[in-house]
Amino acid sequence: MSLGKAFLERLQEGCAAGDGDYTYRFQQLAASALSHGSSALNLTHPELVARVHGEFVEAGTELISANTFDANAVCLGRYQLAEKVREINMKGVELALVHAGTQACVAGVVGPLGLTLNDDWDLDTYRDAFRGQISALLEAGAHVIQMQLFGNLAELRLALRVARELGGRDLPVITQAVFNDGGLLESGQNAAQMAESLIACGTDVVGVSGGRGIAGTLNAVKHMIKVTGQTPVAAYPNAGFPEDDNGQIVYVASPDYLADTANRMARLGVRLIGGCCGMSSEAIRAISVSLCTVRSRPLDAKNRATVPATPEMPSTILEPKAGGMLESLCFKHPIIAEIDPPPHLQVEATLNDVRTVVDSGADVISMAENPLASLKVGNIAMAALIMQQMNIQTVCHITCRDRNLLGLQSALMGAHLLGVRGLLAITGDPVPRQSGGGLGKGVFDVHSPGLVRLINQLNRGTTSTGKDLKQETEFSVGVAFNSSTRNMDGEILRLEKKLAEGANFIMTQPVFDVEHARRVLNITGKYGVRVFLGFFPLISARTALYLHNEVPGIQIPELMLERITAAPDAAMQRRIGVEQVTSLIDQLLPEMDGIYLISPHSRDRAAILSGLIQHIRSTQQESTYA
Amino acid sequence: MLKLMDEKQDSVTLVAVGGRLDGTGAPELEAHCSTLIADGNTRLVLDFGGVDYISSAGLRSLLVVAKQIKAAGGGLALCSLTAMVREVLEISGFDKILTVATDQTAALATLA
Repeated sequence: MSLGKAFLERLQEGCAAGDGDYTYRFQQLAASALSHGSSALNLTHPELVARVHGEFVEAGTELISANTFDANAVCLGRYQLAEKVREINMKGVELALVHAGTQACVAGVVGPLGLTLNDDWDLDTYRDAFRGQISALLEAGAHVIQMQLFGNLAELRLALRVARELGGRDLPVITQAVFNDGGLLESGQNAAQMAESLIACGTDVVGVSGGRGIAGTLNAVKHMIKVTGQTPVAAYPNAGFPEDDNGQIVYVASPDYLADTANRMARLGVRLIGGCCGMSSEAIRAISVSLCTVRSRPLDAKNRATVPATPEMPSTILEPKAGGMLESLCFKHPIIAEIDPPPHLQVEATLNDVRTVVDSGADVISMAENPLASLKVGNIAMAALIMQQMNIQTVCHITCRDRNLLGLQSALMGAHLLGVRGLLAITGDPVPRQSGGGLGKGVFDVHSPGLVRLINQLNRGTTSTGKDLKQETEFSVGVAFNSSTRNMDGEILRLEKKLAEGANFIMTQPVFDVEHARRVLNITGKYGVRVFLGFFPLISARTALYLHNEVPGIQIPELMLERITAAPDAAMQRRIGVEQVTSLIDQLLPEMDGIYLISPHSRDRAAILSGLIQHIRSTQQESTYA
Repeated sequence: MLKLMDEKQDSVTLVAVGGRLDGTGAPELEAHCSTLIADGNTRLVLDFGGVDYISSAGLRSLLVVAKQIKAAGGGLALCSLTAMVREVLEISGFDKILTVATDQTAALATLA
């Protein structure tokens, strides 16, 4: 068996230490030698490169990274060294192999090209650059190809394809990307989406490198690991954030702290831990020692099923959760359950309903804001009450109808302080004229795309007038998609406007038949954001007729209407409604990435939702273990 | 030589583009669109079904056209991308800044 294959098997059994930041060490030892980039040192200062390899090997690394990160024709071309690609890569691998001996594995490291619109390039520029570098790395005997610090998923996929073309399916390939402060790649995908995409493209190990300090990496791998199954996850965090110390960039995280973090990652299931910017050999030594104490479970597809569907119930009031709501939902089939606030001040029954669906496995509670312009308790206040009593995220619907720009921003700032992290930005149903002015008039200073823009301004720490909030809100912004409209083209246009303003996820109006649902998934699925497909249990003929005829955005298929209206009594109608929605969910489950359950207008709404959630969770378990 | 064919559909001008958007073709597209915009055709759909090659020069031209249309208060949509063109748009991040539709009908709808 090749060393590379053996290394992959090693990752199935336990956690290995990678190495750290070569360039940082080169800067400490001989900054002036870096005038032509890091990888040129393989030719100009091989003794320096060899020394740093020695330091990392001595520290306990099991995967030595060749000093080839920027050794592609594009990057080297900036130093007029494009013709040295083969030589620099081969020397880089040779220097690493000397220190690897017969035990450690050598990775040929490939980085992104860093091309911009100011450069002249086409797709062949990318292909040729990756091909030139990877073929030299393989020719020199690299055991593994390790792609690091990619911010664009399309570029990383292309590099992976080139590696597969050159090395075949047996070549071990590690793909690692860098995430921004919002937990997204530069190209817009989150950690789970990135991992799923790369696993589908055939990566052997997927992971994170560099980026948002140690906590950011930890957060990314937490989400990633929920979707990776048997594919090992790698984490190469920066050694904290850089500081300028009299002109020298320094990283202040101590080796002990980094080792503790590595230990946490390993216990989460991460299988390869090294470091990016600022990670020294001292830190790698501490990490390597720390990993010896971790007893790893074998990676298994069933691990995906061990991710708890809901957190344990807390005994005390919780702090508001940090990070956008969506960040915590990077696994398959998260469930948003909608329980609307009551129209009076007796909220205990509503809280009990919420508790029931949370206990069943709902991931998020959604609450409408005065739905159909009928007065309810404020949903932000209800969300705060719920989060005080239960460990659950909330999505508050925010309408453009009920507040002017001043009120909207004030309410949203308050929502942030109360711990609300999920919002659904909607225009809001108009106030009916027959209210006689008793419910006031709709405001509509903005419509839903403008509201999305406003929320994203708050997420960047400024108000609509540019004033500094001295902190950024952390909202994930959802938008609605009405699939039953007569003007579908207009609805798609509205959706695209909302997404262009920065919406993060879509919640659809309920679907009632498979074909309709597939059309909705087809339309909404192409934008690269998570889609929560709406389901509504039609448990009475009266409700079915009311929704079909009176509620905007809902059309119920004729067959369904006939079936439920022909049922002789309420019990039969309820049974038909629950069976229908259960069957619909069963048929669509493999195609969906998120579920939005809307509670029916019924005293036992919680029991109905709870039954559906339990059914979905048990179906997931069965499919995972099948 | 780039092939360019215009068709007016209500207030939207549909431009069928064919050939290579490279250092030669890109300025042709840019000049063609600039003339259309100057003549008041500020809502453009560029059908790229016949584009079999695009380089960064082509992307720069698209950016120029998009800026001109934005300044004129119009709208721009691309449609019918080949796999190669789509990949270039994804790698450059242009898929995030331009409206891209699957076909002409969908592209026209985005400008409706």
